[in-house]
Amino acid sequence: MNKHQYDVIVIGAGGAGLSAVAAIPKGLKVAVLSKLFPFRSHTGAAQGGISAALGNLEEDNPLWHAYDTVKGSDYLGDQDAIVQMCNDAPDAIFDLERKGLPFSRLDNGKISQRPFGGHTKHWGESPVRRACHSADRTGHMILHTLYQQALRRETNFFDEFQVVEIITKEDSCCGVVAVKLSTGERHIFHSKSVILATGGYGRCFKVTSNALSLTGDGMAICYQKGIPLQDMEFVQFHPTGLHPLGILITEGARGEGGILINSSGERFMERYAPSIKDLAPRDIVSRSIYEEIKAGRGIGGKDFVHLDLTHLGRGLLDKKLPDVTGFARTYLNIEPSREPIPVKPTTHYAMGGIPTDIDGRVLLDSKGSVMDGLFACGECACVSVHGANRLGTNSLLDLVVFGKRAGQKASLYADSMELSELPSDSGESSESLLQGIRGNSRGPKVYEIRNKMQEIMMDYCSVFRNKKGMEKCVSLLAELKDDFKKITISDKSNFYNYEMMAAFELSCMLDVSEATLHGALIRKESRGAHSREDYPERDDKNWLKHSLCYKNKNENPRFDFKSVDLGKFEVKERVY
Amino acid sequence: MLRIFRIQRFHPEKKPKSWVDEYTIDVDENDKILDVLLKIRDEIDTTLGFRSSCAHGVCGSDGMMIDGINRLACQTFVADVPGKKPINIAPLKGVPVEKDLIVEMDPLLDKVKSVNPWVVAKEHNSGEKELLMSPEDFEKIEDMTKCIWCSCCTTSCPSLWSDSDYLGPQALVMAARFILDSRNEEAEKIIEKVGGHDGVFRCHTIGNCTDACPRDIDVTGAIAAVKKVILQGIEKDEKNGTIIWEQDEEK
Repeated sequence: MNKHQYDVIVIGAGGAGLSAVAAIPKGLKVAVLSKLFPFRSHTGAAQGGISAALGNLEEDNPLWHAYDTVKGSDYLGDQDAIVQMCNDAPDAIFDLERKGLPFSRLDNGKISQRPFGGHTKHWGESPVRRACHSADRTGHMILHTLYQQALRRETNFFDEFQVVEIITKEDSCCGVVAVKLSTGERHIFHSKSVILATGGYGRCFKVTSNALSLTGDGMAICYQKGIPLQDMEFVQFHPTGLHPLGILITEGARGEGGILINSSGERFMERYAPSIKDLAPRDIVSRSIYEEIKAGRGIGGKDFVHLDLTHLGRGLLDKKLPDVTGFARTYLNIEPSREPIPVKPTTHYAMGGIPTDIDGRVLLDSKGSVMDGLFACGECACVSVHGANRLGTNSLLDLVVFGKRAGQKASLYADSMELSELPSDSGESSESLLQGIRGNSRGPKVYEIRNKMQEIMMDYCSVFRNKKGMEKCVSLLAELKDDFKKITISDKSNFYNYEMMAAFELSCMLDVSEATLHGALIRKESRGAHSREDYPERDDKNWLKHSLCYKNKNENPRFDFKSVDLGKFEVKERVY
Repeated sequence: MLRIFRIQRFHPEKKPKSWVDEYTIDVDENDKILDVLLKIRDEIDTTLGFRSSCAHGVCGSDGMMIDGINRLACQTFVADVPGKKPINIAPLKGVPVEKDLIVEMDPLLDKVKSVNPWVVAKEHNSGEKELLMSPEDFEKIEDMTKCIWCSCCTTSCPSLWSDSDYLGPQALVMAARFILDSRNEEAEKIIEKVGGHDGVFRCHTIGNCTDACPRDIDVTGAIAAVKKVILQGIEKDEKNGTIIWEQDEEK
């Protein structure tokens, strides 16, 4: 096996990983591993904006931003982390700007800002323009700007390396095992600090805005080693996925004045969120769309509604929303300046993930014990700033703020210690998984299991959930996990073996689906994006707490719970 | 309906030369070519090599030659190759092929990296926390900032096919983007890099690149802008030191 030694290694090179890289001092030896090329990462697909209370157009305040985020999280977000993020936000924006990010501009040369769902002024009074953006390509600009600066720093990239295992020794991490896609060779990256920034797992569901690569790898390799996953039951369904493909149409479209309408032409969000209407948070809008569809008011009685941008005019669409209107033209042959766009909720974002503190340190239990040397940031992590529902634009903010903090802390940690010796069983567990896959000769193919998993997760564990459906899903998922043991691949080569990688990714998706599904079943309340038909109310008395899901070999996962950081904002009923 | 897909294959462990495999697939005319490739890899031949990720035209992974034109497989539909003729799919041209539709990225990336594609921030307007930039200055570079590094442009350029040292359109779009960025302290360094032998003057305005760009970037226009900056001599705005480039009226 090939061996490498570094001070810090970063897994995943999207916005979070590259923000971490930017924060690592030059004296440290750093490697960045990505299963893609860094500039293909899914941060690049984020559209509408990144929020910070700059107040470039109207009065704003980081505390209002924090209040909105806490309320948006349905009070499950940790208030200390949220205040930290919102206070750090303006400097994070100026830092990106100085790195060369081409933000859209106001006439006075300052950064342009626009309204976004759930972002308000004066403690919820009315929408505020807080989302800094570069047309509707904000994520693309963040990703490319950070990558350009990483090139400038002559960062050491290992592109198309799939990480398959974290190497742990007692309660510390001392590296990872990765497979080089082009050769199938296994490499050990031995390091003082490891930063996971591997993104989400939208591909566990049939309809998603997520890239094919978002298969929960980082979360699953932690889960495999006994690290819990936090709040996995909270999965965001973005209200405006292009029907039927699920491609994202930014909330910025509603920020610019777009409205949702049902089959009778009614602007139905006025009924569900009278004060901020179409700019209500995503969980509420997604549920409202489903309610309209259930009531037979989907367009033509079908399972979608319309996003109407026709009144905004071609000029504004071309300037402010060029990409998403382009998607409507390319994928549906619809001209958004003349016709409404068919939309329905699409799996979008994981609020849950690897539990961390505000410095990205991975936490092992409800008491806050730290896994030495292991850090996580971005969507794969759960700080938690998004709680039960993330506000639009806060994911980009999360990854730059906490990516930087993780990078700083991981560097300090690496500076303070020597490389510890690798355990003798390094890489054995991933080797046995991959060998097992390679050795099977008769059994189901990757796509057969994957497609079934995506269907059952969409059918039983998406916007609305209930006990009966989820229990059925539990047994179906267990069958799929059994099937996976017999999975068979026909490509036996080591040369760009995508089938092998797809099988590995599927093993990850089965694990994170398990955590999500069991978390959803155990949480007997409705909060944020988790909506139980059999428990329609929020239950603060019993459930104002984070869930921690632990892998339990050959059995259902085990759960523990930890308290939410409160105290700065009062826990109230959540109305808009 | 049934359509025939003729896919160029290459697997150096199996055969020294490339070959073509033919697949007859039941498709809808609204299917993306990427969907067809994924279906083939899932269900028919799991060894088929191609890159993909976002599947909706923003990550740039799946640039390839479809029916003779460089484009993204996730933005191209069966209906885009009308009639009943076989749909030919081949890797991008002008760079070494690794496997099937996968090309070597290093030669392409090395060119982009060689032009210093980044901003070194000026500190000229202190007093504000951001580096102010007028909407007009933003618009000058906006088109070029859309680039997703898919390399469809560079690998469609006949000048590059005949001379692999030529920097090519992708690197030059990046050069233009950072030369014309009013915040960049080191624009002149980039001008030095692209004014030379393998730089912008190798461009013969053939225009394949602009046609190939899935992001509708005016690639030839961007290259022309750099040529113009070089030919007119570098003139700078007195106020903020920005390199002056007046866009042509007709653009």
